[in-house]
Amino acid sequence: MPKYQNDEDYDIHALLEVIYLKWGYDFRGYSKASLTRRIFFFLQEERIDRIPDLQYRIVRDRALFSRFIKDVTVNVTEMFRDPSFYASVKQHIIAQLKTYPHIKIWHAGCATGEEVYSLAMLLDQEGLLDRATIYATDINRSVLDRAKKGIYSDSHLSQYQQNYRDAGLKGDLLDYFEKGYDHVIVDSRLRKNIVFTEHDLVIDHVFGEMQLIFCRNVLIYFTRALQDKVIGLFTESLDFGGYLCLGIKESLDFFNGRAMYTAVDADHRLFQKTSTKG
Amino acid sequence: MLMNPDKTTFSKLVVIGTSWGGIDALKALLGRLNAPFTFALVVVIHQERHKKSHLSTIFARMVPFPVLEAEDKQQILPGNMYISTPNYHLLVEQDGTLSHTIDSAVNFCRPSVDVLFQTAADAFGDRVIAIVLTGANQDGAEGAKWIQQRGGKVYVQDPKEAEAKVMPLATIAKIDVDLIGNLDTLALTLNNLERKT
Ligand SMILES: C[S@@+](CC[C@H](N)C(=O)[O-])C[C@H]1O[C@@H](n2cnc3c(N)ncnc32)[C@H](O)[C@@H]1O
Repeated sequence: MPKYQNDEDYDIHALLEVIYLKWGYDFRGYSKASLTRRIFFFLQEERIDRIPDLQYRIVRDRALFSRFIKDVTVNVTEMFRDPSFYASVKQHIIAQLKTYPHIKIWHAGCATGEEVYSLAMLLDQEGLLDRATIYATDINRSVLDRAKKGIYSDSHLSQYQQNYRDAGLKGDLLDYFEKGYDHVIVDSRLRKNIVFTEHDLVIDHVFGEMQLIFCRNVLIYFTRALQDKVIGLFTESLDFGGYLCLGIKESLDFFNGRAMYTAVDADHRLFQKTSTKG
Repeated sequence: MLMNPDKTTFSKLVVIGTSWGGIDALKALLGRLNAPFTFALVVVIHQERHKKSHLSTIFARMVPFPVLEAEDKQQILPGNMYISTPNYHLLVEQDGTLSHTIDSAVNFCRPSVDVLFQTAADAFGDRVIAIVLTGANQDGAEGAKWIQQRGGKVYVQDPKEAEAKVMPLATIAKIDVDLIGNLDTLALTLNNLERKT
């Protein structure tokens, strides 16, 4: 059986190989359907006709490659996405976090930061924010720049306010923001313990021992083999008794170290590392 | 891994898109299918975003074949039906697994029927049959075109019978569809696939 289903499939594989060789970013373990879709949007955006043309140019043009990273990753996010998930974090995880003098939290694949600030608001209400160091990382530098600025358009504001209430937080979302003309700006109080930095889950290593890791809606872009590798990275980074929170469509079911975890709330994908043996 | 191709690969991949009125239409259609069958069904239905979906459980109780909410990277098996999750696009991979993305809405929809249809067409070409059922927007028409261009077939619920006509009409307006029929006819056509293969 031929290795590639058709010419287009071959072109995509070749492009990803070349990008890896030239730039060291490895998209070869990403799920193909979404990636292919994004690559075709990128071609349109750049007015490049064919993938082989993109392949030729991307090894010679760093700026084009930067735009590639920016456009092929899916950065859609929101404040308090899945409000009941945050309610569950509050119910199941916060109490144990309170037992630590200091907590380290990692948001892997934080996109434009909405999720990071959402959790920071919850931590604030639980009196944990001052004890926390929060690492917020992503492969895409341009979304990190936006996350750092913490300026958001107010077009989704009422939805976010609703999510905030549904998540069970006190007061109003706007208690944490300054209102601008058509945007809102995150209060500096929320940001002071957050470090935004580039980190590629596929090629970079562990950088600290965490009590809580959020990696939501990132693993869906990876094949099972790559998911396994990345969950392995999280497992290495997690303190004994630490928590791993995934997106609603992500699970540990196929991870070969599944036995190291206990599901704290399986529906909301909250897991605790309760053993060091897989 | 060596597997018996008859047991693990579907004969046809039947992708269904629906929105307004879709639950009733699906109940009627699924209730008329002769199980077990050798094709696989993958369904995108527009639902309210924050509700946990119980559709797969509801359908599973009604029909004599497995109905599952699509899990990420799950292998599509013949004889089964898979349903989308609210707020995630559902995609078909070339290796016959399902995957998800939380990318922007398409036609104001997430999941979008177009995304399912297009990725199914890219992955399985002439083995794809699309069915467009009742719905109140145009999602699915563009994807139906891709399916035909890659050799697949497109069947549409008769707009006269559909609870909401917009979705079937949009597809009929866009392409020369392979069949327009009521739910009885669509079910019969699917049942007849078994005869030919
Ligand atoms: C859909 S967003 C998820 C945002 C947020 N966690 C949420 O659930 O709302 C996925 C993010 O993962 C990032 N990402 C993709 N591949 C990555 C990698 N190899 N390493 C780190 N981040 C990655 C993307 O840049 C994107 O910002």
